[in-house]
Amino acid sequence: MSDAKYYPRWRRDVILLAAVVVLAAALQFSVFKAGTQASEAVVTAHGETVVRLALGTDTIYTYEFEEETNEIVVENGGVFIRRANCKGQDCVRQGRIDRAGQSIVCLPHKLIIELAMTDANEPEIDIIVR
Amino acid sequence: MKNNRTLAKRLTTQAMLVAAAVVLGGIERLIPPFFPAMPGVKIGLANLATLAALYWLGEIPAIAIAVARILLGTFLFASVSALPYALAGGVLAWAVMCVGRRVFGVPGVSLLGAVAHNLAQICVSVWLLDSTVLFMYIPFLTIIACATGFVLGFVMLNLDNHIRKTSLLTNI
Repeated sequence: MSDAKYYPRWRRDVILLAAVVVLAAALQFSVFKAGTQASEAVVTAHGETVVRLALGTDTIYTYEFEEETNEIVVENGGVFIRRANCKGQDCVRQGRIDRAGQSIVCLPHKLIIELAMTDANEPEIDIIVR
Repeated sequence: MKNNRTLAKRLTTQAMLVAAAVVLGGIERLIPPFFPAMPGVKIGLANLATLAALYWLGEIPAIAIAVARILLGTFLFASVSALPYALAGGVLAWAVMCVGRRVFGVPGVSLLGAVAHNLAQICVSVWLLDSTVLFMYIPFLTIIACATGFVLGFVMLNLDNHIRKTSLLTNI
């Protein structure tokens, strides 16, 4: 190597690896406080909220913008994208989400589905039955 | 001393690295996603070319090769909408690796490049989507990038060992 005189640097590399992994793992666990049931799915496209879907009722919402469509399915308290005409199909592959804070993103369509947390002050049942 | 022969050899080596990177990127596209729920997780094979260019040819050829392979790869295999993500990832990875190699060895530099690549892509998507949801992906993607980046660093070390047994890198 052109800068061979600096070798070996194994100790530094391993410390770097450990530090970054530990930091990322700590972040991961602080971000995803496990398992709060979500109550609604907020659909955002091009930076604006399109619709809020209550997770209590099973529905199919088809997002349409110009030629872009995503078929969003709400089923048994979870959400997934069943069909989309985007190129990558990443949004379909991301599968079903049902916990607050989770999200499905369709980059080509600039579409985001975000699960919002149940508001602790409001009884859950009221929101669903309404 | 840079005579015409050396310049020609440098140019050829750069072109070969671009070609190799485009092929590696193409091969990577054939691999099914490891985590379907987490788009963006990939090995980053093409970054091997930037890494190799950085150590074999220097910083300026490395960025030239990175940009060339991103443009070629995007127009060959992907859509134009993927270009901002790819460019941001490639450029930040290069910048971080340039700084990182003053401090770390090859695996560390490769790891930093992989992590930087992800961070840049997330930042571009946050900017384009106008939503901060995607910041949530950073920790998970970073852990994966650590693994792929570090391993790719070893691949680079091995590659370097073998290439140096040939005359490919003499007089450049």
